This record gives sequence, C-alpha cells and structure tokens, in this order.
Amino acid sequence: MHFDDSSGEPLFRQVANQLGEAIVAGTYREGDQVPSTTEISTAYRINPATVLKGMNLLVEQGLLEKRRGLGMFVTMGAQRRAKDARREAFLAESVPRFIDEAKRLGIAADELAAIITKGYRS
Amino acid sequence: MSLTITNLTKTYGTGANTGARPALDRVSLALQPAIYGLFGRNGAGKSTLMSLIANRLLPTSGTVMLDGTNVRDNEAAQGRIYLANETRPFLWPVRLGAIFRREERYYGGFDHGFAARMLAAFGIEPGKAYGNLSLGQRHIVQLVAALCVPVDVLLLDEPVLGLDAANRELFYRFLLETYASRPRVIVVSTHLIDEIAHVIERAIILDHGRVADEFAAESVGSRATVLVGDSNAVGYFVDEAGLSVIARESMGKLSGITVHGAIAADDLPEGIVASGLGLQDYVIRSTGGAADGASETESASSSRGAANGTVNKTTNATARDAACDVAAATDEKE
Repeated sequence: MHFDDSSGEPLFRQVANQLGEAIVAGTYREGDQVPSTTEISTAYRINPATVLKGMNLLVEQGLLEKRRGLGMFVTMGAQRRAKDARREAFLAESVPRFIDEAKRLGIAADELAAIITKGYRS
Repeated sequence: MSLTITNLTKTYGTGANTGARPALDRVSLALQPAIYGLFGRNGAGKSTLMSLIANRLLPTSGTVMLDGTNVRDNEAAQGRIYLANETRPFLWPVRLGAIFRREERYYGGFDHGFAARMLAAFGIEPGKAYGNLSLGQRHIVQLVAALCVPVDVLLLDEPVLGLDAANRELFYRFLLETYASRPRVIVVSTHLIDEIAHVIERAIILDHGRVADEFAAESVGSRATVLVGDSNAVGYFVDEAGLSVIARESMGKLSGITVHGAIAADDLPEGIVASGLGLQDYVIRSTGGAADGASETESASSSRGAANGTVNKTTNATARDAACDVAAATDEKE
C-alpha cells in the first residue's frame, strides 16, 4: 500500500481504496480473510482508529463483512460491486473534472474526442 | 478512563521573577484512550505539561485529574502514569533485566516478553548493563521500559530524538502494537511531525504555553485552507467572506493566505486555488512559523532583531525566513 498526504484524500479513504483495489485485482478473493486492523496498523504505521474507519467504509459498501471473533472477510460478489463502484466514480467524478480542465485549456470537444479514440487504439 | 486537565498554569521562578510569562497558561484538555501528538515550537510548554501531569513539577494553579482524582502528590494515581524523558536515568551498572524488574515492582507489572522482542528487534543484548550501552541504545531501553509498564497514561517526551530512521520506524510499529493490545492515553511530543502524522489519532498544538488547537489528526486537511492566486483577488475574497487568517505569504503578485476551516470549491471565485495542509505545515503555520496574521510572530521576529512595528507589517521576506528558521530548528533536532 502507498499513502499520499498531498492527495487531499482523507487517510481512512485511502486505506479503503487500496483494500478495495486489492479486491478488484483479485488479490483478496471472495470469502478470503483480509489482514486485521492491528496488522495493517503496525505494518503501515497508521493509527488503528483510522484503519478501522477505512474497513468500516468497505463494510458499508458491502465489500467486507465482520465475522464475530474471526475477523473481516471479503463478501460474495465483492469484486463485481467494487468494480461497479469504481466505474461509477470514474464516470461521475473523474470524467467531468477531466472535461472541465480541457475546457479551461481551450481544447475543443472533437479535438479531445480524437485524442481519446487514438488512445483507445494504441 | 480519562485524564482531565483544567486551567493548568505553570510560571517558573518566584519573587523578583513574578509577572514572568507562564510557561503553561491556563491549559485545559480532556484526554481519552488514544495516541496524541503534542506539537509546538521549542519552549512552547510541551515538556512542562508532561512534567506537571507526572508530578515532576508542581503547578502554579489548575488541576490534573485522573478518573476524577487529583494526581498531584497522589502516589496511587502516579503509579498509573509514566513519563519517559531525558531526565529519567537508570543506574549505570545495573543490568537491563534488573531495571525492568524494578519498574515491574513500582508499576505492578511488566511485559517481559514484549521487552525481549523489542530489544531483539533493536539489536540490544538483554544481558548487558545499562551503562555499557551506547547513548542511542540507552534511549531505546528507556522507551522499551515505557512501553512495557501497565500504566493508563504514558507520556513520551521526544521519544525518537537521537534514533536513526530505521529505529524510529520500528518504534512507531511497537507503539501501535502496544496501543492496540491495550488502548490507553499515550501522549507523544516530537518535532518530526510528518513521520508521526498517521500514527496519532489526535493532535494537540501548544503555542506560547496555550493550546492553539486540538483535533482529530485525520481531519487536518479541513482545519485550514491555503488560498493561492492574484494578491488583490485573494485578499478581497478573504476580507469579503470574513475568513479568519492564520498565515500570509506572498511572492510578487501571487499571494497565499492560510485561513481556518475548509472552503467548498463552489464558493471559490475563478483564479483562486484552494488546498489543504499536511499536519507539519499546519503546525508551523499555527505556531507563528511562516506567517503573521492571527498567530504571534514574536519569537520569529525578535530572534531576528527585526521588531519593526506591528505583526501585520512583517515583510514577506521575514515570514519566509522565519519558515526557514523553523525548518533549520527541526533539522538541528534530528
């Protein structure tokens, strides 16, 4: 995992995103146990309250489930859900920001579309 | 379990020195089990605060209560509080095992297994006498002892001073491990703020003996906003919106004004860019390091002999130099 303070993204969200990314990539498969709060906390030197907040976000998103006395596990269908959520976030947040920036720099729509099409071909 | 500090004040010296500025000035804090970072410039009152909690100093006024009982001259309460600082020497000819057993007797317990594991990780032979260790190793032994006693309040005054980078990393890991296994009030003062920014849960900033801010470390990005843009536009926006200024910097026609709180992107006029601050930058700005405005620059300007009028007239060059002084001071500490 890598954490970036200058990203402006709260640390607990970065923890959640990176665990989510590992679920999308299949590093943690459905039904797998993920590392405990303490393991993540000591490995990356992050306060356990922050790690827990990040884990709870993934529980809310239905990617992780708590099994009493055992720990946190990846839910069934988590990979699909995580991918869908990322797709949604990309379309709803990243793309509009990208278009705004292009507008600000005076790049016309068809010019941008051509670059995108070219990017897809390569 | 809670540690409640109310209007705690400490003025050093008496008699002819009365009227001296207090080292700690009406500090009030309510601490719950969590890892706290205690930040502030040299002389801000960090060590004084810790020494008062641990009864190494007596307050001029104010109280420190642990679960409702005053800790002052209270042996039962002090047995639940441990302060590790440079003035806690162990006897030199004594072997580490004997030092740890002495701590065990006084504090009613000691995690010998954890101590052995930490010594091994730091590469210190457990059978050695304290005096035969290097300066850095002796310091580590003090930290090991501090992390192994079963106290409810652990005060670590500059625990990483003199530790190399790898050992500092190890220390943060062990600190988190022991906290996770038994949550308690842990206060860590340090000047290596960025290193510990993720380790702590809450941050306390002291400035000239007063609490400048106390907040969840995670939320530091929304404690303050730096607005950068054309000097006139930024200045106008800040005045119009009635924002509370923490620091001002400028370079030619560009200005950067740091204000309290977060600002929604929608509220920003065209041409002004807003960004949050990391913990170290926020601490520097809120303790008069790189700025004038709301916080005092007395220490910065007087040390330069440049007390030329009001703080608002402090030149930008001075403000920038002051920032460099802070950086240099931090480097010296390392």
